[in-house]
Amino acid sequence: MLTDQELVVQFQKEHEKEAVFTELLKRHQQKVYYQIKRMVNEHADADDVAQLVWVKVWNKLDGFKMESEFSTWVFRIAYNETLNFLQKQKRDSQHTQSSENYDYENATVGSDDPKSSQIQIALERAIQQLPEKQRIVFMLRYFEEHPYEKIASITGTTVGGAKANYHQALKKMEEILKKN
Amino acid sequence: MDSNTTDIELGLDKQKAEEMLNKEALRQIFDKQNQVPNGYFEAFDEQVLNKIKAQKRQRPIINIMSYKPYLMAAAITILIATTYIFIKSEDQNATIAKVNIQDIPTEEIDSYVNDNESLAEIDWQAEINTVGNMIDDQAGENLLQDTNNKQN
Repeated sequence: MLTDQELVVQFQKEHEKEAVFTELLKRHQQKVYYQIKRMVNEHADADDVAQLVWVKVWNKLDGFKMESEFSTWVFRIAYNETLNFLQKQKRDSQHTQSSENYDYENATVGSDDPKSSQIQIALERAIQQLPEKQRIVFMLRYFEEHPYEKIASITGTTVGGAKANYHQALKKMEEILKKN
Repeated sequence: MDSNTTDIELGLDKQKAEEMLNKEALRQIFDKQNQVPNGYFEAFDEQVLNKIKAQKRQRPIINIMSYKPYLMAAAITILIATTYIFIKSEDQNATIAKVNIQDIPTEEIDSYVNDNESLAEIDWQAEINTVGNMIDDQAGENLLQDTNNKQN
């Protein structure tokens, strides 16, 4: 099986572009989608952003110099596109309102234990209250299990900065949960 | 940093989060975020490729802002060129205005006056001839008679 790098070289040599691109997309689409969804919450929004990301990858892949791993490069595009989406959403008052009124009660995964569901709702609220950078770093570290080096490359920060963001996010969420 | 150390660090980070927050709640959030409509990922590549093809079909939109540096350079060049031409023409006018009448040779002035004088005479003669042609002989006789009577 060809590596990501070899596929990128084939794409850049105009060799069966669509097939090569589809292979790269299929390898990474799920991780890219989940990274976006952890930030935007709604499937429809995550789908829109994910499509934008892959169209951008197609447009920019010829100029990709392979200074980082292909996946890191794609995750970075996804991170920037997600931030753009969230900023645009903030500007749009309607969206801001709907985001503030996000229906946590109905959005939860069914749990037999009501206490557990309550904690889940509170935790989801706490995650939403985090600053964007802390939120994405926490998601990438805890859920996606990325090493700090990769998180630093994706978010454009240092390894130390990424570690600090993760621990600050934990502290802040703990405080929010205690208040509730 | 080797992968073993990285894994240990990750394990510790996850453990810390689960102690500070709630492991079960975190798992539920993870499950919820991983929910996607059936067949979503199977059809996703097709959707993206359709979008790319649609983008190719669209007429390229020229973004004027991408030409901003060139537009600014052109504007500055035009401004400099216009200013230069304006200043140059001002200089030429000033040179013409500075020519003094004393500096012109007398022969040149005489020649100019004479030329215009003869031209003026020719013009007058042509006018007299035209008016003369318009007056018939009898009327001319009468006019001459009247002029003589007045003189006497």
